[in-house]
Amino acid sequence: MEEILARLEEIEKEALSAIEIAHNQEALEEIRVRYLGRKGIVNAILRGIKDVPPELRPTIGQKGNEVKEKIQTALEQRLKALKQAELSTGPRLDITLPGRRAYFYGTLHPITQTLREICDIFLRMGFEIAEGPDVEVGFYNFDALNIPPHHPARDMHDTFFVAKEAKLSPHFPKEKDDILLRTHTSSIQIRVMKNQPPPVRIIAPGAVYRCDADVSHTPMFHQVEGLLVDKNVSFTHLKGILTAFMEAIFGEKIGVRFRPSYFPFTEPSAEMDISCVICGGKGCRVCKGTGWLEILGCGMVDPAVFIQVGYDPEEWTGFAFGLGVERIAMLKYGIDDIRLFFENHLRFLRQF
Amino acid sequence: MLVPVKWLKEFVDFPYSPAELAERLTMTGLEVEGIEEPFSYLKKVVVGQIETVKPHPNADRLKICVVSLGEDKLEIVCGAPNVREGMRVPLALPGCKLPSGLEVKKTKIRGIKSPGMLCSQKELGLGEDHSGIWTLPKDLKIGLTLAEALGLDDAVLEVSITPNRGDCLSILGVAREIAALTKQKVRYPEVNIEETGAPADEEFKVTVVHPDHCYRYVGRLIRDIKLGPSPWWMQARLLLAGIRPINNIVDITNYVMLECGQPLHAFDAERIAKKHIIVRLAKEGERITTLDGKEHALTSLDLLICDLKGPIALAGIMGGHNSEITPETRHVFLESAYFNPVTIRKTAKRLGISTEASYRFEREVDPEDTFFAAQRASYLMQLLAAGKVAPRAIDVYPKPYRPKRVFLRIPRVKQILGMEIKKEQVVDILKALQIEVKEGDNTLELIPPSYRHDLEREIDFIEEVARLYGYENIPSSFPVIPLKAKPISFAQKIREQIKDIMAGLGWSEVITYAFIDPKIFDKLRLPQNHPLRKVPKLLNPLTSERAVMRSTLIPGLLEACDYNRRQQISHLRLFELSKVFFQHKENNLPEERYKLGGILSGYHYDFSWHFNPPQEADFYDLKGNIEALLKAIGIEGVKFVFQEDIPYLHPARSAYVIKEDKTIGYLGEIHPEVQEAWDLKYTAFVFELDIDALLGCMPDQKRFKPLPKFPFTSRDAAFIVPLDFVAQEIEDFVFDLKVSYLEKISIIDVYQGKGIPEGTKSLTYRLVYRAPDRTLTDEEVEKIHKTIVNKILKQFQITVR
Ligand SMILES: [Zn+2]
Repeated sequence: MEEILARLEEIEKEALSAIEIAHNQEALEEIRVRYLGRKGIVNAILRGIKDVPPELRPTIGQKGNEVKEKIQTALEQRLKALKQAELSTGPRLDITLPGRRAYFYGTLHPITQTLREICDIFLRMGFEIAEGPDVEVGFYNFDALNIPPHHPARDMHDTFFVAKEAKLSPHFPKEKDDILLRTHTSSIQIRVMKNQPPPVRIIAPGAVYRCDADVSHTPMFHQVEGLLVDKNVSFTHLKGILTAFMEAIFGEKIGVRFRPSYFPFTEPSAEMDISCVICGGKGCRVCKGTGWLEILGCGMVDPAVFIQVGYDPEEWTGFAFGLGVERIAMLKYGIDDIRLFFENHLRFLRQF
Repeated sequence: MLVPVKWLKEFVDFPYSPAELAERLTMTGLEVEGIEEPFSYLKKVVVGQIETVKPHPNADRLKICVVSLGEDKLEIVCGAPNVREGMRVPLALPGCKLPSGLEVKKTKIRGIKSPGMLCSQKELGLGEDHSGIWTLPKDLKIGLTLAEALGLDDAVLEVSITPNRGDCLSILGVAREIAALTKQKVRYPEVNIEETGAPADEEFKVTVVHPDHCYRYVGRLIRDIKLGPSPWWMQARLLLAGIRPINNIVDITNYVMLECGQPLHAFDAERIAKKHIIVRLAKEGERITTLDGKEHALTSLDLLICDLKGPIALAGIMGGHNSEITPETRHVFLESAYFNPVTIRKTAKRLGISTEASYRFEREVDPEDTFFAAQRASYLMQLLAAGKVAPRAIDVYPKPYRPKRVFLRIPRVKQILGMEIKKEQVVDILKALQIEVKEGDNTLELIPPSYRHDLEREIDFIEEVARLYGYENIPSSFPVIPLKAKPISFAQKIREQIKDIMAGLGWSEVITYAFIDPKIFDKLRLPQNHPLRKVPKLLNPLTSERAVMRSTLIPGLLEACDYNRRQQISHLRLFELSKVFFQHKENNLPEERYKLGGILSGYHYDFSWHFNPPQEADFYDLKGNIEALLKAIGIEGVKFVFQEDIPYLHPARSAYVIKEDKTIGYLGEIHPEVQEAWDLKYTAFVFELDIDALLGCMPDQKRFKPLPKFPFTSRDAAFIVPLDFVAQEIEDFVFDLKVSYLEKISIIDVYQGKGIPEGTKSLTYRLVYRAPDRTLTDEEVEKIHKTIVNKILKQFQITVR
């Protein structure tokens, strides 16, 4: 009996070392047949069990099964290893070839992206989005905003007028019922205030038009107008909200300043500057050496505007601001020519 | 406005450098846009005196001048005929960059060294004379730079004056702002007139016929003037302020205008017919030739200065040709007036003239200063043109200035600014601005100076307080405001969502101009009465190519496509979501609608090794994208039907997009003629969807449908149909049968060619069957499927393949 057990152990060793050096699936199969096949070596030995006394047979049977299992496991492990080796040594794909896609991702226009960023900041601060017509009545664009006809302030707005039946001759238009392309989205302020009681908290994004075209002007561009009217809204709030906005869009480190200016529909009025994003305030060509960039106009809503829309200027106060979207996009993306926005060169659009 | 700093210093003291001054002014609302030293090149030009003139050994026409610069002497080669010994001349030294761009260098002329260049007045940018070397006045000190000698060594601030601050359109006005800042007083310019001769009002008469347009008219008579150039200090200041010197009389009127802000006009007194000035509105059709030689036809809204024969000046804008100062002028009648700003502006705008005078009158001059300005100019004419000022000014003042009285409530300052500024400080600031202040308990009674037309209401004074207190000294804070749950509308949300979907589908967003060329309608083959031609037209377009508002996004998209083609990009997908405009009725605001439009051109796919050779895009590329978009925003059950009335689309390759009998848009291949008109490289496919129509078809709320619990079974059926048979018909028919357990029918193959008869094609559909409560048996499916197929065959009289 001892002899048989020793023989089994010997066979186990032999088989395991054969498995270890087998280098393909065929070799492994051969080993399997040779040792574990019905007519294999292990079975042949076990068949010799009949010459052993019956009380010893279970011991041998157990040992035989153990050996079989060990060989079987070793075969499986070796097979797995061989398959893995085969995967990595087999023919490889050229993974450097470009992938298959029908179409590259599309892009949103940089103005859309900038508008969204601006709007998102104000939406988070509790403003709503208001809209109004691009083709406006003179009253909303000028008169109601405290810009009377023949006021020099109209020089700040090179206006496109829309032809009316009676007025096909291009004499100088000036009436309240003139139809024109809005020169600012401030006209929406009036429409909103005329339609709802205070408080008001809106931003009004949109295209605006001025008859002006050169390197730094396009006849159409985009503005976001803002208006906050409530009880106890003051100049300190104007500074707070607009400073927070600039920090949100240009980063916490941006410097800001407010300086007196003039808009007929706000008083006190201010021009807001940010520290030059190109030179960081040291002075460069873009900021004309001042270190500051003009970024938006703002001010406290003029009482005349409140009276025009039927709000009591003693009870309600507010501030308004208007900012140029192209200007912000140009500073953010480092675009140096405003006309690029409207040429729609795909190589330009794809950059954003 | 250009403000020379040294001139400013004549009126007010300040301890700032030009840069500091610019900063201070900017922060009080007078924005300084630049600081220039326009004549810095004259620092390299020195005043010299010619000691000797020698002939040039190698050239007859050239001379060698020995020029003394005080201690140094230089030999300069010069070709000008007028060089003489003892002549005082400007000598440009090497390194000097003249206005023409010429840089003076040490040179050799015909073998003789010349370390500089003698210059004419024109070469130095100081006048028109180019006849020879400029003979400088003897009082210019030899050796000084010309910049110093002429007083041109000054920094000039370019100040941007807002339309409400007409009072700052003068050196004195800017000085007053500085004085308010530094709590100083301004010094007014000198006037010291010695009147002689017969009083002016005995010789001249002034009648203001329309006082609503001319509130005040001051006239002074100055006799026996000697016309000539003004002294250099005056010319220099005019040059620094950007005004061309002409002669002493005209220069004085300009000088005083720059000084005080009051435009003046000098008439040749002998050319005023009957010595009677009449200020009146023009008669319709009346004409005047202004001193620039242009003739203008007038309307009854234009104000004129006339004599008894007719117009002699366009009031406040420009003098008349018939009364201007000429070399023969002996006596001057000087006008200093206050004209109604609106009157002047209307005429200036209508005639398209803007002068230094009209610009100031439009922004209102100081009615109380008209007399002083006349005095000052008369004095200068006496001083610089040997004029004899006639006694007694004529002063017609039909609408005297009435000081305004405004009350300022101290608590209101806090309400607006959000911070408290003490009453004493408020008073201090207002007084510094020359505002009269009467103090009450919590209220101030204020009278602004006559030049501050912008101070009329309480809020105007609050702005003054804030301005001088310094915006930078007002703190920042946040208002406390309630939150809102719905800050944007459904439409706003969906528009942005659509843009995102389009970008996700591989389309790039464009933004095109909202105005287009009306000729494009012809290129789009639109008949004359087509609704798309009813657009708002601009009265004053920049170019004829941008003369009307668009009624469709297609022109802009074609233009963008064309632009890209010229950049060698012809494979593209561009979309725009924007407004279009329809002018239904004249005199009303147009209808504005949001549209989504797109253009697709090039190949099915981006060029790559996977899809090589590339295949040109077709109708189905576009349709697939529209289907995907509609599905993504939740619009289902859309039909595509042939369109026949869109002139710019290929009639056999285009369709309307229909949802429940409502047209929501269209798509298709561009018409070959349109294609040709734009010269596009590849066939272009376009679409437009109406955003409001889309919004109307969108479900208010997407709804969950339970997921299937049992497996489906599918069967295919192929039919032979005529070539023009439309696949959708069978789908619609089967759908309308409302067979139970039929879940879906879709086309899976379209075949034409070998194996089927000519003139026909084969359509293969896949029908999917499923029961909600059990697995269908093969027998059941087979039965239903057969029934459907038979019904199809019967309905369309077609055969199974
Ligand atoms: Zn900079």
